[in-house]
Amino acid sequence: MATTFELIASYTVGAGGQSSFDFTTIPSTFTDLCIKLSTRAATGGANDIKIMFNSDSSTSNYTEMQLQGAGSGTPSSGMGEQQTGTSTGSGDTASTFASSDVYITNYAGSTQKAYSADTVTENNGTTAYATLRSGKWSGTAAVTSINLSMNGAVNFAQYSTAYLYGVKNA
Amino acid sequence: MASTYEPIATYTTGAVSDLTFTSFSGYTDLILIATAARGITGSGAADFNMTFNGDTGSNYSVTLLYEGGSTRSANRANFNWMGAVGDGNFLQSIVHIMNYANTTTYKTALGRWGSPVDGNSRASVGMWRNTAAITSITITPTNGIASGSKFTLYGIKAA
Repeated sequence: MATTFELIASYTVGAGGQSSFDFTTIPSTFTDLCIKLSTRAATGGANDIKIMFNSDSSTSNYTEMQLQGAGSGTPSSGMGEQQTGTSTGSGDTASTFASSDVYITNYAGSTQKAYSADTVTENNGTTAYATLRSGKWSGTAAVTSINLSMNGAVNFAQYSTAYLYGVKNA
Repeated sequence: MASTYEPIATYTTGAVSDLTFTSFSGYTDLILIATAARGITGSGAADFNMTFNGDTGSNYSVTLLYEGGSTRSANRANFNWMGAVGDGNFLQSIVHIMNYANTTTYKTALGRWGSPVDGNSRASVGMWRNTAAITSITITPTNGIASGSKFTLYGIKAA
């Protein structure tokens, strides 16, 4: 019987933090990719996570839209580039990590690559975030590497984790 | 170890008007994942609808939450679980169909879809007001399906 979800690689951040999660040499043998994140910023407040495919750092090749609730008021929306998840901030409730679920369809195909990302942060306070994102990388090459980092070069805090799974349709 | 997440069927389509999945049984829930584009050139995105068991009547209610860059809103629709797709932009839809085989309750589903190019991102929750087990799922875009679109149906087992 086929195994649909297979773990490709994972990270658990050690003491001192880590600047990014780099998944390299991703095999082309899967149908889709799925990334599960549990993250917290080492410094500063809640922080967005950027995704980069195949080391393409040109922001003009990425489009992203988001709908975000912050615990009160009207949800915000907007367009950007590369935003994928949101991390709990260093000042938020201790031992609290954000959860993000990123799904990348048809990553090995020759069309532009679409992804979705759903994130929740938590904080024992008035502000926490629930965010729906949809994004696209205009590259048509197969995705062979994925880099995840936080805005402003903020480190992921100790105990943050990232798991990359390959999803097979047969 | 039990395999709880199994591929049932996958299609990489030519240019077609619709697509139907049949012959799925023995699972608890279903997940449909699509990377698709509209089949007929036009402006903006075209609705990408989904029906069950060939029922095209007004027996569906779907609530959509979506944002369009600087705006966000919600509305209600009949068939539009999967959002919409644009010209040449192969975009992503994921629909979770829960407890699809029971014969007691109306059927519900959760959808997630995004089109940064066409200008919105959506989440949906919907109901088919019928207690029959779902035995077929038909995708019926208002402007067809572009060649190269890919659809995969997965089954989720509770045990």
